Order: sequence, then structure tokens, then C-alpha cells
Amino acid sequence: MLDLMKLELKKTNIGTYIHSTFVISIVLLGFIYLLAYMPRVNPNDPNLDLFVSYKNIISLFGALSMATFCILASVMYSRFVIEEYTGKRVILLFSYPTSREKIFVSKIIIVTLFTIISMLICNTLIYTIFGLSETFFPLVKDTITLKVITKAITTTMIMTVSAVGLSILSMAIGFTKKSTPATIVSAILLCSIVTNISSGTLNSNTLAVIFMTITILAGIIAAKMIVKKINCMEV
Amino acid sequence: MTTELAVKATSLVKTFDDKEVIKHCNMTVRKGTIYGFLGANGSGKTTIFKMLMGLLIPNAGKVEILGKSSFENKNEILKSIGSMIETPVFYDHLSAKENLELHLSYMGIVNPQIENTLEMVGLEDTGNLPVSKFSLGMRQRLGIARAIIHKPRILILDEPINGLDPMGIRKMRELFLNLVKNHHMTILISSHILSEIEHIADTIGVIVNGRIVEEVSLSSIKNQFPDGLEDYFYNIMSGNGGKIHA
Repeated sequence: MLDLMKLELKKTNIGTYIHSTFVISIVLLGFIYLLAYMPRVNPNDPNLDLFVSYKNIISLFGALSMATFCILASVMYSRFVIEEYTGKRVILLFSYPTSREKIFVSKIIIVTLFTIISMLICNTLIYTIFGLSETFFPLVKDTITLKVITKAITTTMIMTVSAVGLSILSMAIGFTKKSTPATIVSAILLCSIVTNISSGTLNSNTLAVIFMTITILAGIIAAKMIVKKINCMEV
Repeated sequence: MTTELAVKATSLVKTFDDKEVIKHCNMTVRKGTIYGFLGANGSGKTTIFKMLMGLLIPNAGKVEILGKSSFENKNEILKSIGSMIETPVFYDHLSAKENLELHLSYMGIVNPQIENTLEMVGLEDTGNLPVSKFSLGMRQRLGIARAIIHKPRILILDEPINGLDPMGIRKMRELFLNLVKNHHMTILISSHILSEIEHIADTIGVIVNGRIVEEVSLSSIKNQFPDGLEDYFYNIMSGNGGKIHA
């Protein structure tokens, strides 16, 4: 499996996605400062009280980060899976005496690992920079406690797993429709549904865990269905 | 007798959307020969090639490759086949050498002679040039290199000389003959360029509307049609007869 993953990395220029992750990190960093600065724009607006606590900022930032990385993963799936299995390249891929299932699983592992690692690094960096700057030049009228740090860690974990599950689901939709746009659009739609739900339940970790479990289970089932399709696919 | 055969397909049937495109085809290819597969556009040549490789599953019939059923020994058989079906596709950001290395890794073969193979197809000077910068002819040559580099026992080539210049066509002709003579390969080749098939094939198979109507040796055809393969092919396609009694 490791050899197949190495071959997949050789076939695709992974540098593009590393570059994209770097750009996403800068944009998300700007976004977290925007959330923190919001109440200062109009201090009398009661709607902006939402951004007065770190907990809410972390929840909103987590949802946005999840959506961004889920869409990045869906773009990667478009290249790694959709283009490979829907174009002429599939003839070449199926001409090899290698298990079709293993090749497909190696692609999923690469995108999943990339999403997890890049999202964890990105969020850790952003929280560290934001946390340090808040210590010296605070924007938010709240204090960073151990509870806030724990919330940041758990939210990041939950959102990372959700991003993985949702991106696999969008890949399955794109695979069925044999379309790259369908993959990316379904990722955007799925993310907007999930982020809307999670922003409506900002302080409930239980609900977030339930959603995470549902998305990852749905992702696994979808991946298994695609494996079945690939095994009996004719080209 | 079966062990002397590289390919034996019996009563192959394939339907797409309830339409029978391959109709009870039989194909027999002896080891160490070149089988020229002729037919009009859409007659079913590529579909047959794909069924031989297990890329398409026939609705009925049996395929034996080197004496083994192609459905039960799929991966084992794929190891012994080199192919170029339809227009060859590559990883365009990689060089010719890197594309071949990738192919060999998937075939599970180490220590190959990549430079030699590139030289055999006339691509020795491409260096690190990405395949995206290759011309149609160069891509075709690389496709042939990829089909032969793992030293398969059977070579399936679907229109391999499309886009090649006259020098390239001649070089490929010599290469195919050399592969059969010195490397004991069996080649199944389809082409619209009848003169090329005439130069290299030992046996000719003709497919008309999804049915293989004839499989005869080239020498028998030459006996009855001294003016060449074109007359023979034209006669069969226009339904004027042309049956060879070998």
C-alpha cells in the first residue's frame, strides 16, 4: 500500500496543494482576526456580542476551517479519483496487474492524510499566533483559560474528521455523476449545510460529535460503495 | 494444441445498451506471430482487444490467454500483456523516462533498461522534457515504448502507427518484426494503413459489423490477390466475397 501511495504522489504534483494550504492559512488567520475585531466595529450592536467570547470565535472559525479544507480535499479528489476513473486514463490504470481496490484506497489515504495533517498544522499555527497576539494586544474582551484551549483542540479534532468524511461523500457524488464540478459543488453544498447546523449549536460539543460520527460513517459507506463499483467497472 | 496458442477467444458476445456489438466472435492467434486485425471504423476491433485484456467483460464466450482463462487469472495475464489501446495517455508533467519508471513500478518490475527502450522507439534525446511538450508522433512512440518495456509475451496494439511520420512507421515496422523474431513476442495489431499490415503480419483477421468473418494467413491472401491487401479488404467490406480458401 505504501508503494502505491508513493506512486500516486509521483503521478500528481502535490506541491500545488501545499501551496494552496499556505494561502488558505493566511486567509484563515485574517479571518480569525476579523471575527475578533467585529464587536469593535459597532460596540452598540447586540448581534455582535456573539464574537465577544473565545468559545464562539473558536466554534465559528472551526466551522469555516472545516469547510475550506473539505473543499480543498474535494479538489484533490477531483484530480486523484474523478479525473483518473472517468477519463481515458482509466484504461491504463486497469491494465496494471494491481488490485483495483488497493489503488483506490491508496488515493483515499493520501487525500485523507493530507487533509488531516494540513488542517491540524494550519489550525495549530493560527491558534498559536492568535493566542500570542491576544496575550499582548487583546482584541477580545475575554480571557484565555485552559477551558478555551481544550475547546480549541476538541473543535479542531472534530472539524478535521468532519472535513474528511464530507470530502469523501462529495467524491462519491462526483464519482457517480462522473464530474469534477459535481464533486466540488457537492462539497460546497454539504459544507454549507453542516456549518449552518454547527453555527446554530455553537456550544454543544455533543451535537458536533454526533455530526462528526454521522459524516465519517457516511464517508466510509460511500467509499465502500465506490470500491464495489470500481471492482466491476468496464472501460 | 492450446499451448501453442497465445490467444483463443470463443463465441465472444458483447452488448451495449441491448445492442449486440460483438457477435459470436472466434479468434485464434498462434504464439510468435503477428496478427493483423482489420475492420472499418466502429466494427468492434477495440472492443475485442479490451475483452482480451479483461477491461470489458463479455456477455457470453470465453477468452484464453497463453492457455489460461482471462477472467480467473486476470492479474497474472495482465503481467504478460503490453498494450496500447486508443490514444495513449501519460502523466504530462513527467518526462518520458519518469512515465516509463512509473509504469514499471505498477507492473512490479525492477532494473529495466529504460534508455534502451527509448532508443528503440527513437526517443533517446528527450531527456527531462515533459510529455506535455511532445508531439502526437512522439506520444505514439512513447505509448509503444510503454507497451514493450516490461517485455510482455503478448503485445496488443490498437492503431499504433497513427500520427507517425514515414521514418517512424518504418522504424516501428522493424521494431515489431524484431520483437517477434528475437524476443518471441506475439503481436496483435490493428491499423487502417493496410500496406503496413501487409509488410508485417503473418495472419489477417477481418471483422465486419462485430463479426470476425475471416482469419487467414497473409500468404494465402497474396496468392489470390496478388495486387495486395487493399483489394482483398475492399472485396470483403463491400460484400463482394473475397473468402480465402487456405
